Amino acid sequence: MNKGKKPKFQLSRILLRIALIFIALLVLLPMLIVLVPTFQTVQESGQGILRLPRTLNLDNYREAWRQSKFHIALRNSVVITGSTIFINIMIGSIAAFPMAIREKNKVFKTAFYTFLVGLMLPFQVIMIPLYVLMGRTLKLTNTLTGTILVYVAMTLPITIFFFSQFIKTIPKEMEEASVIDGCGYLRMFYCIFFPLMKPITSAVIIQNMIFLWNDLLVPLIMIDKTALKPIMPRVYMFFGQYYNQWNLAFSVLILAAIPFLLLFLLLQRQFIKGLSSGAVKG
Amino acid sequence: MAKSRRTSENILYLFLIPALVVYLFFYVYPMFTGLYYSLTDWDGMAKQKIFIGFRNYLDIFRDQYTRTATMNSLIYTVVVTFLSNIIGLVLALMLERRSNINNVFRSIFFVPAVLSPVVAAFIWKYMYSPQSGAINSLLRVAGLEILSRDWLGDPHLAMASVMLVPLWQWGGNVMIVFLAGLMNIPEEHHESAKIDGASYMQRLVHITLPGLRPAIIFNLIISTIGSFKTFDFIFILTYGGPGFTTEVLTLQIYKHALYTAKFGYGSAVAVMLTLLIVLFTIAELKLLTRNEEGYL
Repeated sequence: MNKGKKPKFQLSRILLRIALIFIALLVLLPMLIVLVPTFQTVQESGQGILRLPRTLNLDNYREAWRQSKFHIALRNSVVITGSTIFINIMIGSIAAFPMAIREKNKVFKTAFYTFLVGLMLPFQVIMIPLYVLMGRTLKLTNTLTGTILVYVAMTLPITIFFFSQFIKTIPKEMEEASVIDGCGYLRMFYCIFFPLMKPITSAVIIQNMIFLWNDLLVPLIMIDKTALKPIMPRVYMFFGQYYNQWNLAFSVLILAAIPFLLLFLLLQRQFIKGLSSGAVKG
Repeated sequence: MAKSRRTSENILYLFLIPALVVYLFFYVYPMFTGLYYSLTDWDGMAKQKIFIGFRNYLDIFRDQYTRTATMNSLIYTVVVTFLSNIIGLVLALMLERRSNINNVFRSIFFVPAVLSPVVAAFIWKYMYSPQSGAINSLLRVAGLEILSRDWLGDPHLAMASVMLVPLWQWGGNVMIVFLAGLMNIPEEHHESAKIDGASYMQRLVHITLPGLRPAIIFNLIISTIGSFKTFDFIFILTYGGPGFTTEVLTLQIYKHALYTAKFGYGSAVAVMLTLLIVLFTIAELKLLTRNEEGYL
């Protein structure tokens, strides 16, 4: 029975393969095409993108790095992303703990749903009030601290949701055993629960990192001092100034994309797991 | 003994405080001030905010620009959500079998999702650029110059050109969720259906799609919320132009906050956007969890 089917099966597999290669080219092409101008000299770039560069010279990258003061933007991004994630994990994980182990407690339940609301709301609904609060009342615009605080508040809902869902899967006996041992809740959390939460912690970190590193909107309303801008708004600004010099503009763009592409290649499995976790629990 | 148990139990409330304080102060409080602004005529400058009730909300229906932006947001959301799910589903089905080569394809399709929307938008701005852009250059070389267009400048094409970008960027992300969903469908179901002589299409309709229901719900809701919230693509690609053909609600709220200083009216538009998101999410949940219990 199988024998008769085999040739047809093979043919459909070949067609499938061809279709996949075609789609892969469509997906990759835009990313590869923007590499062309970054290696072109100024004369070459005048001849358009089909004039492939002779050599892989890195002059454009060097020049773009220098003119955009990329290291400053990079530092700002690292500080913002790093601090936000650190604070977010510290206060988010411990807040999720009582919500998960005392599900029926009214206070914790209300708190949990309050955080859940933030999962659905668009940032735009708090954008104008935040602009007023940070800019006029607290004078925290144009500071990294202000930006970090806004980001912590924005990322808490998803962090708390993921953590509490995960803690609920940890057996109740863990808690009971440690109570008998005379363990306080603080020690119970840090010595027993937190170490068990490693897989979900890395998923939460990756999710938040992708959002924080790539975001444009929050810095757009929080920061207008060039020296404090993180990478994406800096790229946006640089593009505005160098719009006619594709080779420099795209070099900055590639510089901005590289850290994440590298990280993705290194941690592919965690990335994909981080993004799809929670998706199919049903 | 009982008392010491109680005090140690109380420490659980303390655990909540740091997160709750930050969240209440920088998220919930602005949310309520936003609601309040939306009922005033505040221009962002005046010391006094005059309470005008629901007039801003009535103005939304009269304001032609907001009407256009609402329509555009709806079109963008429906089209992008629908197509990205179709694309993601087809890709997932094509790559269902586990093999090394399929893993390579999965990674390739997922790569754009790792990029910042800012980077993606600039890549496509370059692709679409009328003179030196990649698409028109390639068309010229292929001798198909008649097909070249001003992709983002033509009012009839701009919206379609913009909508292609999220499909390119997030299609692979949708695929990943569907792939995870496919793994949850027991192999035996397919095996026994095959023995009964079910064709691929029959198995797709009766086993695969029902088994993917949680993944479909998740993808639809995430794409809907994400599409309504879209900002970066349009901000960079067209800034709402040409004319108002690609103006969406998020961009309008941004403009009202930073340029026209209509804080009251802008807040009302933001509240309306929230309502639209909530409405769509509930509708999708109702539609898809009909006769079912326990999903989500």
